[in-house]
Amino acid sequence: MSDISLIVLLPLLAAVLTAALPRQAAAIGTLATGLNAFLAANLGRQILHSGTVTEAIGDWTAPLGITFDANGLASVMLAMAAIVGLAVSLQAAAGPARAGFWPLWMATLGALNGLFLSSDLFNIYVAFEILGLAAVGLTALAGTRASLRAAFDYLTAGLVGSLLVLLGIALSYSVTGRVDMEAVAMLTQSDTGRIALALIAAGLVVKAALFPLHFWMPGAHSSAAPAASALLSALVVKGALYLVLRLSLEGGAGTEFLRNTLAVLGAGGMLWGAWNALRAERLKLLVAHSTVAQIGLIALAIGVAGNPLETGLWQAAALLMLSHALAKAAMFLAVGRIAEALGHDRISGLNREELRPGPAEFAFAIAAISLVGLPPTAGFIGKWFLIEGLIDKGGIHWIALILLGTALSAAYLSRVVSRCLRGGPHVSATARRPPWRTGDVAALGLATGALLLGLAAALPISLLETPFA
Amino acid sequence: MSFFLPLAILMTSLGVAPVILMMPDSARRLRTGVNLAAASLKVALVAWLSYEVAHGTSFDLRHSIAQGLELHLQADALSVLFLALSSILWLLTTIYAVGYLEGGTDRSRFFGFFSLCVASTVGIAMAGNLFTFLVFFELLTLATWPLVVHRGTSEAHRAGRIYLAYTLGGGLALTLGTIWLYALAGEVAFEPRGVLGDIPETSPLALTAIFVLLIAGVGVKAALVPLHGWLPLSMVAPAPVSALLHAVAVVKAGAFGIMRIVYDVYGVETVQALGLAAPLAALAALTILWGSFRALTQDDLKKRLAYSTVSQVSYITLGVALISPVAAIGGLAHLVHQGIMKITLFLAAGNFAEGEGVKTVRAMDGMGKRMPGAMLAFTVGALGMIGIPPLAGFVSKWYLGAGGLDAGQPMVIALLAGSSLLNAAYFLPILYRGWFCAPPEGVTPGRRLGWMLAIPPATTATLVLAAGLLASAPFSPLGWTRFIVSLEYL
Amino acid sequence: MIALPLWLVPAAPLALILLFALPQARDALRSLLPLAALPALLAALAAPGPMPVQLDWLLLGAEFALNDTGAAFLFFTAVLWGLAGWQALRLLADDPHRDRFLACFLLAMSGNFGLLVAQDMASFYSFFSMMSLASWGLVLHGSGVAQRFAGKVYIAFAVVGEVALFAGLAMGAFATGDLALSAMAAEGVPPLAVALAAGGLLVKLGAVPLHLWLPLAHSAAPAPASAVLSGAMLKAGLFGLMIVLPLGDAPWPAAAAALAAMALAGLVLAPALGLVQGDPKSVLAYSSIGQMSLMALGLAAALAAPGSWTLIAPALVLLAILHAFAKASLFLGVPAVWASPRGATRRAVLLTLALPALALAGLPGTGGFFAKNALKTAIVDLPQGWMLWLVPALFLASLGTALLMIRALLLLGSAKRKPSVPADVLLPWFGLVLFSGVGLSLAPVNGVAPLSIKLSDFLPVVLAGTFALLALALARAAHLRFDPPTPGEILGLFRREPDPKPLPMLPPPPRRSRGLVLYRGRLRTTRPEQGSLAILGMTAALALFALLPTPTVEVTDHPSEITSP
Repeated sequence: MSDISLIVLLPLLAAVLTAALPRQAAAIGTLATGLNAFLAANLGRQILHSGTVTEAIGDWTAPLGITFDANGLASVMLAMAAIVGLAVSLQAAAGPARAGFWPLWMATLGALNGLFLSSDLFNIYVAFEILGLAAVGLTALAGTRASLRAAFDYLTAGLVGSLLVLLGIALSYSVTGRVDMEAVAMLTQSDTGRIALALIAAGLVVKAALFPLHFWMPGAHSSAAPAASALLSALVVKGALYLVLRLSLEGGAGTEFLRNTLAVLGAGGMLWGAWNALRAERLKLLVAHSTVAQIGLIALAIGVAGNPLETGLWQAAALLMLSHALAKAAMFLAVGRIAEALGHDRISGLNREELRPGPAEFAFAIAAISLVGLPPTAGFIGKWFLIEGLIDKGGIHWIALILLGTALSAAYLSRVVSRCLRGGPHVSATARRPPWRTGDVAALGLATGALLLGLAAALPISLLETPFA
Repeated sequence: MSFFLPLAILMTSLGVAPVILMMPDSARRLRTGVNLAAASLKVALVAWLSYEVAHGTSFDLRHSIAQGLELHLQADALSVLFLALSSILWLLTTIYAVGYLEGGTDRSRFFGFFSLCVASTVGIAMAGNLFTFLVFFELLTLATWPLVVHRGTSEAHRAGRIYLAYTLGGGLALTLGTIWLYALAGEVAFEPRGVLGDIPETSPLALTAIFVLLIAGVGVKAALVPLHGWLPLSMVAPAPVSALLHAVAVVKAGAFGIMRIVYDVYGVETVQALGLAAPLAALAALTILWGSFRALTQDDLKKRLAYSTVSQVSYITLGVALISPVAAIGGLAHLVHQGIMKITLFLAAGNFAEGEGVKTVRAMDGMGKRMPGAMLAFTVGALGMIGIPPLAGFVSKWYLGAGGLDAGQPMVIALLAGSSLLNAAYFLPILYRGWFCAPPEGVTPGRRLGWMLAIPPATTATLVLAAGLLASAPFSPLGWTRFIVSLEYL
Repeated sequence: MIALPLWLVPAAPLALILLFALPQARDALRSLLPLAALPALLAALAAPGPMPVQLDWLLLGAEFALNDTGAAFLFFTAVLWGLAGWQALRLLADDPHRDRFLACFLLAMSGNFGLLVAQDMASFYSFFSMMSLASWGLVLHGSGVAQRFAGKVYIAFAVVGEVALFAGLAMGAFATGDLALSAMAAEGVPPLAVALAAGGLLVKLGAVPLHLWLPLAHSAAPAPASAVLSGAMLKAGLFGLMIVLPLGDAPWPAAAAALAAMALAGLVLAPALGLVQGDPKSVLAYSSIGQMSLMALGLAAALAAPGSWTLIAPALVLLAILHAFAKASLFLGVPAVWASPRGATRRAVLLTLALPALALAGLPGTGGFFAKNALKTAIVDLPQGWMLWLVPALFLASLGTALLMIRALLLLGSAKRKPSVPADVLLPWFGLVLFSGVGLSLAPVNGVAPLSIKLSDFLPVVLAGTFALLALALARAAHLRFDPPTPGEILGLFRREPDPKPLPMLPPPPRRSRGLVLYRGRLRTTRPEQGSLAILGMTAALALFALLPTPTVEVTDHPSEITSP
């Protein structure tokens, strides 16, 4: 069995195992995440050396095959999932055990890996469906009324999205007679094909929680357990975004209409999310709305990147996805710890007299730097390339929007960070400092990783630059 | 081994910062020890570096991030000037801060970010291209914020928010300008006399816009009017922070950025050819006068000093913008001179507040009797600011004046004269109250300050005197700036 | 004789200040104060003058040297500072702020010495401003209302003067590319530069209308400080002008006329304003204005007739020396009068004081007559019209001085004894009077010819005496009492309005926090049916959008138009 199929099967296998052995679930899950990270790293190294690796399962090749296609983009995404997964596993393993978390999480990971590696529409659909269902499960895990309701909303929206995707895929098969990625380019040639593409895209927009179809998302992400929120916000929506990016990549000039829409929606999402984050009263809600804004930014980046066959601007979007995943996961983990120490997550209540800022708040602050996209984070590098490309292309209004979004994100995040810097008369002399927990380590590690990723941006960029097969 | 010294100089504060941040507040001795050791080590390393640079050794530390985008640390004469200033003043301010915050809270956080501040200053000084400069510039913004809000009062938080709004806004402008320039010219390394080649002929309009963006970006930190609003508000910070912010880190980073942009990115000829020098000089002149005017009416001692900073830092900008080697000497020398003078003033003002609880000009009566040492240091700093010889400020003003004539702008003399008069008008009353008014009735003697608070202002005051008196000696700030200017204008 | 290093001249007082930092040594150091002037005196009197000193590392490259004029100035300056310092020690023996005064005194002393030996602009300017600023401390010393007012006026004038001097020197240095002070007088220096530098120095010289600070400061400062202010520091202005102005080159009529106008105004105004003063030190100060105006007149004449400069210069030096000694004797005499009880002692003191007073008034046979005549005879070759008013002006100066001297002596005679003033202030004063007697013969001035005395030369003094007697008689007969005006001339007429009392006020409205919370309402939750509608709408929109005619699949020509479908 090759590395590629192993990396998909391993988490799925672990999902079954953890479901079967709930007592050892944490150990098995953590082990599987570790192995997954190792495999992802290995695969990345391989791609770096010898370019795209392709594997046709059961020797079914295009146009009808089930092929796994490990290109640079996929391996960056795999690495992203692996790193975030490691931190989340660490936190979950150390935290209170919740039945069902590990199987769901392992399924999510497997589905994500499959999604990233698949290069045919049908496989993608299957992976996507598993991902969606597992994510709904993760949302509902918290067990509160709010989380159940949010999970139900999520389920409904997700199902509609999946249906749309399925409809699109079916339509595309009827037009082109093939399900591999080559189909996308062919779809753009005919009206029916384009409608098929539009259907798929609409489904993905729902799943990616792109404005204005994000309505289900803040509730779901803010009411789930911290580890689950981190996964949902950092990884699950990235699955859909990744597919959007793939569509744009495969479609070439023909998917220009898709990109234009994405750019407009992204801009809207950036502003709307920021506006809501500015108004948010609860910390988790603020972070969730910030996800809306950040997804908007990424969509905008994909949208304005132009024909990927001509420019490498889409790489900026990939970098932004990577950076956002790490930072947002760190932020949700940190928020979880903050809420744990405080007993609530109201922003106005962060100024507690008897509590000094702890490591979690520090992690939050560092993650905030990444999210705003200040140097030297990967977010900054991503924005740098994006703006540089836009200057070359002359999209000055997009630049203005991006800068506005950056300023807004600084504004809403500083609401929290300034409270993390409390001290002086507002903190009593005997105030305690929350002790270190594993969750803090995970959050801080992820946040620092996001911060320093910019310095190591050469690695993902060179991966992204490996030509597609 | 050309990468060793820059790396070591950077790491003596960047590497130390996380260590200090992680320490518990109670580890006072350890923290102080680590702090002072790092600061002293850095001074030694900078001394070594300046010796090497003076002998023509070049230093290079590169880390590639992507195609056409690399972090590049180097050390040229201009860097050394800024490095020497920041490392020496960092050492002194650290000693002072240890004494000042004795018994305070959140000291690990304070000193951690303090180190980070200096790390970014050092990075700014040694940045070899615009990207690296930008990275450290933004880092400085972030590292200073916790220091501004350190006291934790709502006033401090308000000041912090405004500070952040100004500097992040400036940072955005700088970022945009930088990216635009990279898009236009490829990697923008800092080279004497500019790196733009023939771009000025092909796209002058874009270059003008970029210049405006860049200057607006660094101008926020350099407190150019109308971007200066954050500076007086930031005075709620503890005295060592005000000293560091005003003398070394933030405003100087801005001024230094203006220098880099004018000299090493655009080159003076290009700036002049694009017609950008005169508006910049006019802006600097406006800032000089406006800052002084506002300083006149401030009763809060630190706010008065802050407005004075607004005014004085623009001397540097003026020296750069006048496009004359003589004025450049004045401006560059003022980078150092203003630094040591203003830090003297702030440290002394901190001592007044700490020792006698005196925070306003009104309350300064009899300070000469109550705290003679601090008052003497303050006097030296204030007279230097006015430009009284043989103190440091005179030397820079002399060169700026001559530079104005050299650039064919005799109005500069009038400007300097007017500014000196205004300086005298807001500093001399303080001296008058301090030395010649009797202490108010019933004032009780304040607490005695330890050596950690007394030595730093005394040292910097001595430096102010020495920088002026020994201006023509080798390795004086003036001598070093002459060396730099000989590289920029040939 | 051991060659005296020239830098020791200004360094000696500075060294003393530095040693003041040691509290244990202060008592001993205080008594050394007069000796700080000793190196300067030795340098002034050394037979072959001290060697020039070149200190490249100092400031912008400093150069010290002592020429003949400098030596003459340094001589009387050193004597004055030494003796005034001695008296200050005695006079302020019990003053709580004595050390502050002494520090300022030493700083000003160092500045005054230094500027006489400085040859380059930077060090000249340094010493000059050191002197000016340190004297602020001397003026403010008494910390009374008068002192505060005088201090304000003084520092304002001093700073403006400094700045003007700075501007002038900077422009001059740039024009010639030479940092030597004498370069200011060279060819090619813009007139504006010379005017600015001269303006700065004229403030110090006390030329009308830049004199407003002078009477205030002199009467506010303690007597020894007034003595050096008047005797030594005003001369620093003269000394500077003698270097900075292009004297002896081409004639400069405009400047000459302006300077002459200032001088004439001073000659007329000084007696007029001085006579009405009620404070002897004030009267003496106005007399200083008159005397300094006389010297400015000499400069004006030299500007108008450059040929006569070689004659005028020594005459000016002579005049300066005389005025320095005489005026300092008078100022130091003020505490001497205060210390002496009415009766024989008082009369003896007053009689002794009459000597310098008469010398100043130019009584034939005194040094004053000698000096004034030297100036009178030196002014030759003047353009048409000058002689017409010059002779009356000189006469007026003598008459005015004589009247002022009589007024000053009368005021001193009626001064009350101040028991707080120790008797030993008499000693330095007496020393100075003695010195004044021999001073002129010692002073290193050459080139002034002796001259004969005419009867008409007694006229001013005799006339003044007559006026005085008449006025006294009139006052006695008509029972008039003179009520002196407030000091400060024009400035004395202004009063600052008292700050208005704050009105009772309501507290300001509470300021809304500028936090970034823009809206504090509750967020509505979105309902599912809205969501499904949104999804459907989006799908439809995308499909429609997809069906819109797109440009061909090929590469678009305008990559910038990314928004257009």
